[in-house]
Amino acid sequence: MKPVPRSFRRHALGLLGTFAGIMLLFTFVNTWINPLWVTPAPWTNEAFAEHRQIYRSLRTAKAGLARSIPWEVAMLGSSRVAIGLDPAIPQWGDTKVVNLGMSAASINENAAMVDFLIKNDPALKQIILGIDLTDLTSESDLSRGAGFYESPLNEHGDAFEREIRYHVGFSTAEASYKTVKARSSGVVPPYTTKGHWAHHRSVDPVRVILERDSVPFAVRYVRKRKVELALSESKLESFRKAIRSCLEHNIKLTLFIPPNHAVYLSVFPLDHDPDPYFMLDRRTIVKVAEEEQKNFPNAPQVVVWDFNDYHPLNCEPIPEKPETPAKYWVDGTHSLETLGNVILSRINGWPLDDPTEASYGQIITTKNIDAREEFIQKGYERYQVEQPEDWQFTKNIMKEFSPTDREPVETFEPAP
Amino acid sequence: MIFNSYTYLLLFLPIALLGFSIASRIKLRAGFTWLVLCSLFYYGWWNPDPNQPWRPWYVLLILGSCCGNFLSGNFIARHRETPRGKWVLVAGVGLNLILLGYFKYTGFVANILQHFTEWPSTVPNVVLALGISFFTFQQIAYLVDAWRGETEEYHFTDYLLFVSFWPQLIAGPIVHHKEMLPQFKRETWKNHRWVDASAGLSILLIGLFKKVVIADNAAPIASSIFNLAAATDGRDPTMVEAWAGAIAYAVQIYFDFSGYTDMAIGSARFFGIRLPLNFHSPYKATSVVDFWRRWHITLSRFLRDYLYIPLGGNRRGKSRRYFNLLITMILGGFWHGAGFTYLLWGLLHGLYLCANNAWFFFRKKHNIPALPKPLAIGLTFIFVVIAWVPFRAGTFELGTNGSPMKAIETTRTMFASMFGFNGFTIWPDRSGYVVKDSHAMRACLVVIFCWILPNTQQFMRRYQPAIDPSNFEDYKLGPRRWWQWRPTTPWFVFNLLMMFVIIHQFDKLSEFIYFQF
Repeated sequence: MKPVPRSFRRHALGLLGTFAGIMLLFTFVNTWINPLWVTPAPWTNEAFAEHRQIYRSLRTAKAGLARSIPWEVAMLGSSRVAIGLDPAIPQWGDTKVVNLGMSAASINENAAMVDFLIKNDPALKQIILGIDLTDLTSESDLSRGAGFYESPLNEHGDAFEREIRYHVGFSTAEASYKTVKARSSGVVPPYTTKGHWAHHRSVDPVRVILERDSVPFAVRYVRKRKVELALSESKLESFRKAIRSCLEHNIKLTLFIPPNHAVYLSVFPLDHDPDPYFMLDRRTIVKVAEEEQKNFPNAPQVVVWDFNDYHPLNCEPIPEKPETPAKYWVDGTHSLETLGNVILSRINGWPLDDPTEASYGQIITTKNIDAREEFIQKGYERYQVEQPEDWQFTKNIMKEFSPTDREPVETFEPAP
Repeated sequence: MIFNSYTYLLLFLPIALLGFSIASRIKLRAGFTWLVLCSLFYYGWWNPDPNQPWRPWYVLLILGSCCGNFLSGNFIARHRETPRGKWVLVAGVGLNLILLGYFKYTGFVANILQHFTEWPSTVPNVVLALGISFFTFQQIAYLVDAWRGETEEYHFTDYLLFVSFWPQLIAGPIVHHKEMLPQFKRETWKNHRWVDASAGLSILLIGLFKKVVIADNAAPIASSIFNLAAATDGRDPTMVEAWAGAIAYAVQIYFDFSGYTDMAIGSARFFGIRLPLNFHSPYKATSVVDFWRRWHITLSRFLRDYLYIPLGGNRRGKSRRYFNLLITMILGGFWHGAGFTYLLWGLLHGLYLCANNAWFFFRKKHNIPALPKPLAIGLTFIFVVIAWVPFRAGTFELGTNGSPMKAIETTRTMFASMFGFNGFTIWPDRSGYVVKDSHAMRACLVVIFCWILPNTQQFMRRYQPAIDPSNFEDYKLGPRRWWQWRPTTPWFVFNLLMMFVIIHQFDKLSEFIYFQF
């Protein structure tokens, strides 16, 4: 029989050996640096902690952060929360606070995070949960592309495969490399060790982002809402589940509606949105919160704060000059910590010296929700009169976009 | 456990290989018994509801199916040409089809009944047993061949391995007993261990590259555009968007399924077992008839041998031939998924085949020359892409939340956009983006590689990576080419680069399209 050339053996062993070598190297580096908070080991070097580059695997890393130490207060929501709410401001004192806001996270993902926290964090006392307007009235869920299913938050996936991936995977190794690079060059990562998206948020002026992203984004929403505006059953169930979980475990839950800038908000009435003041969302939030509370009368009171209106802080004039930053806003949908600190102060009852800031936001209930609608409507009318340049700016951008090309369908549900 | 998972590549495959290597040194049958155990473990790894504790029902299902069919096949082989044998054949095929029907079509039938009669009040949630469409067909073929006298007295372990061998268990190729079972008797693998290992590894790498690097990157493009057509988002896809979505899906499904098949062929080759060829550059087909010789070859073979020919094939005149073609393709479509759009996909291909055959006859009769090859390839590709639209839309009607109306509406919207009924806009303005035009263009251009590059089997031709049931001329051993794989340094470097790119892209969420069938 003809002998098999050695080249086959060399070829196979060479490839397998290289593969095994890479996997071993990745495992060591990933556990030494623990870049996503999910691969701690006795030899992990905590000096890397403040340089960890988590933004490419945000869901995984925020889950890892959630279970890294026993937090007492957790702030949940979308990027509005991740950017705006600072867990390190002095008012928190010694309380261990973490920001677990995740970009584009819907209530489905936040409800999963609530469950994950309750399972992994016995010290948890309070959750501050931001519910974005249009979340409950849209089936849109970006979790698939955002890394939710690859994260520990996904209860239904193959947990064994995930844990192997965190240890040997390229995504963790890439984060390790970036962490080492950031540490050696002294670059501050976007997220702090408490999960706050504090750096590298945007390099463009507010005016540019409003024109390029925020207004087109709102136009797209209105287009969808004109065709169909109804509560998402699955999201409503997730919302109820999140509230129920907190009440069951005696965790204080504060719900809040994060603000949007008036330029973004005014697209909705300007483009004839079927519910331009989002009353279906607001009414649903307060109704569901009160319904769930009734089942747990002895649990801490669920409070709903609403910061989404035409309050002067949300109508901050758009700076004319590109080099002039806005005081409170990154863009049409994301506020800075300056506004986030006001929100936290209002929620936690911390004193505010500025009377404008002290009047920011309202607690809403089923009893005052009609008055709230009137308040917002009047706020919009005032905005048109008091800031005609900004209002005209919005109108001008909207002219660029084509109108709805599908016929509306009769799916609008009256607010409950 | 999918092939592109760390669990498979770092744990399961090495352990299976190590165990096989040790066990088969003792006795070859011990090695195959080990492979059966590994296959059952692989099958049992799947838990349809991770919230519930693991239950053995699905493993018992495949074991029961194997035992029943093995005993029936033996009985039929011993009672050929007798009424008892015929009864057992009919009962065996019937039971296989009932089992398949229960798991695959209960929800579909219940949905229709509910729509027309309001009964049943709730549609039962029957979870499709993994791979049942594939192992049912394999075993039906075995029973029919036992009746035809084309089987031998196989050992039960060999039979179990033939059905349950994990590389082909979940999504094919649909292996035939005549090409698998004789391999289990040969001991030649011991002499070719390193040839098998290096060739298998290279095929596995090519398959992983197709799946992880190409298919998984085309998937979001296709999904975004089909989701746009399915949703009430205030706008329909533009004309170019719709074509881009359909072409991106054509790219995705080809690289997904052929990548899976390559991984299956590569994995099996580690154990010295050759699986049958399942793809042979289908987008290079010059006609739809040619396409079906190259696409999912083992399914085409099954449909031809066990459906089209028993129906009469082309032996009973032209109109009966067209009728048989239509029936075969419609049932082929229905095999893929319990949904109206899968039926539509099958019907479209049935009509294509009828038209294609009619054109052949017409051309022959009037001495019309064949179309230039590039034109024929381009036309065939366009027709195939059009048929992929209902096939992709079919995902909207699978599962308990599936809606046939949504799938049909999506198909209608996509077709309307593709053929200009929704206007001739190229790409939407930036308030309407679901996919960046440059990304969609990139995904679509991948099809050029399908046209200009050799396929996996052609690259690996010197080492006959797969059994070729179709006897393709360009797959047979022939003159050696510089670009054909050999264990040389340039190929080692190429494989290494491929491995680095795969590792770079590996961590994405990934599923195989054909797992759902």
